[in-house]
Amino acid sequence: MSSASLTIQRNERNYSYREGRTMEKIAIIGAGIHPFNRYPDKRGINPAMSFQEIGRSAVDKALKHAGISFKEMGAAYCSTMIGPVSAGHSILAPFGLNGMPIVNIENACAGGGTCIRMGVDAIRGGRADVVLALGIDKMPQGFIKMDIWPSWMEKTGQNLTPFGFASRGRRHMALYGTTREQFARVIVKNRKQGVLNPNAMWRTPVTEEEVLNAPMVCEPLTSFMLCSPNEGAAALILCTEAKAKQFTTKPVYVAAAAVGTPIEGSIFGGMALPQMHGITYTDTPYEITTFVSQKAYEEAGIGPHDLDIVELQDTDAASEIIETELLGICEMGEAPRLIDEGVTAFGSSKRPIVNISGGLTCKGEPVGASGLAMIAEIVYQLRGEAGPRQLEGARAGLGHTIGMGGNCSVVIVNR
Amino acid sequence: MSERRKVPVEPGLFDIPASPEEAIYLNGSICAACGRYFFPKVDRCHLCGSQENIRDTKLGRKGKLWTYTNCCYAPPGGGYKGKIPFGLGLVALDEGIIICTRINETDTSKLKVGMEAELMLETLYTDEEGNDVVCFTYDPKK
Repeated sequence: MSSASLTIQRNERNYSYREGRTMEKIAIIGAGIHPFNRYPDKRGINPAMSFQEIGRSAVDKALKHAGISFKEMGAAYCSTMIGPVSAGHSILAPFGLNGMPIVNIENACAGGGTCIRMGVDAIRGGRADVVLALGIDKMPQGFIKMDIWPSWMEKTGQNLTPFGFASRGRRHMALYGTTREQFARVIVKNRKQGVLNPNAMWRTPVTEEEVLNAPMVCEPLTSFMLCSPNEGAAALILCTEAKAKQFTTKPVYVAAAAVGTPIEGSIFGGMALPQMHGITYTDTPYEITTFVSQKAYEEAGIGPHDLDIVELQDTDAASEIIETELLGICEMGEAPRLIDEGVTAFGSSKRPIVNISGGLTCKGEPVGASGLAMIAEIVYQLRGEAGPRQLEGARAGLGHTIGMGGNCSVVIVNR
Repeated sequence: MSERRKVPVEPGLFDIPASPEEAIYLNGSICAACGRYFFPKVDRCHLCGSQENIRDTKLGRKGKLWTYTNCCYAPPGGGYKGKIPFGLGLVALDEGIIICTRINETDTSKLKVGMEAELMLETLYTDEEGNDVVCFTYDPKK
């Protein structure tokens, strides 16, 4: 191939996730989730609670969890993908405006991770002592309608997210011999775990046969193997270590908050950014999840084998397998075996447990909220507050998202 | 009866050949400095940022199937007017880039990652004026 000799330039200095100038410890003292769900409206939307009301529900829970007053907030970062203009402002006004900056963020699936990253930076930079990170979406049922695709891709039928998910899954099958049954077992695992999570949408177990026999969406993925866009909200309260000690005896800390975008040779990331106009072919694609998670592990000073819990972007069954590998939890091609043997399932003696909350395939995905809800789940687990799904002795967890634009976030929290 | 007029699904992606013997190509770009090909056309190189080194080029006659799927539902937004189900995939072109494309096969049991694939045109649908709306696709060599 004529361009096989292309040298891909990676300018380490310019990447925005380099370590901050100060590494002051940042705590999470409160977490709240407005349960992810779908309603019997024809679009699956709850007509009884507005976008603003579900946002306030999550904020109320996070404030109560922390035992802190809204007046203490020094900044708010609000993530939504399809929400209204000034989303955060309209949610937070009734709490009593105090003049603080409220920043609305649209960063697709990485929006929640981005809120955390920006909150950490604001506190480390001395701009605020306490920050609210908030995410909300009310997403209609069905394929997510987005205007990122150029018109030629819409007209040729390529503007649907499962195209990318199925393509990744098929590639994994070809490279490693992964089977549809193994994809189905991911869903069986997550649905079993979701039964224990009151914040999840699907709270009934499913069998391998039911998953395989569900309607085919994009071969090899059936409808049960794909996560459902739905509605929900999540909020976190971040603050300095000193401030945290005033409010809780069990703070958890943000050990790393890395956010990144694709580089040349990142094929899966490139697919999610159609404006790349083709992706440079390499036999060893350097995927964005690998890239961003390595930065997060360096920043946290811990590796994938030190994690007890991983909440990762299972937009679909194949993605759970692929992202488990790209995060370095196992070698490439090994995740299907981990699924078969239940190594990453709740109840395993091994660590980490993957998607103990049920994951997106079980909770559903209100895109702006999902990344924050992952971290909220880990906060509950690290504080020993997760009830029947509590993982004993959990000390460190990782939340991972990847989505449109090839956006990726990896947040590590520990205690 | 004269043959129906063929119109491209989107201008600029490819040219409709005047005769069946004429070869089909995609219309893309190449950066004269980096050697990186692009499809569709770009006005600056995504590797080096250069605008002055971007040239028009024909590409994409042949490649290898990198991955594939069969899509069984209508995509959102109503922009797609072709038949369902339909094949989609990624093809690694001989020019060294992987592109997203339609695949001329809906029975995935006939497909294999790595198989040769060749550029062709297909009719997506017939518009209100009776024109055949055509699109490029890749035909896997079985």
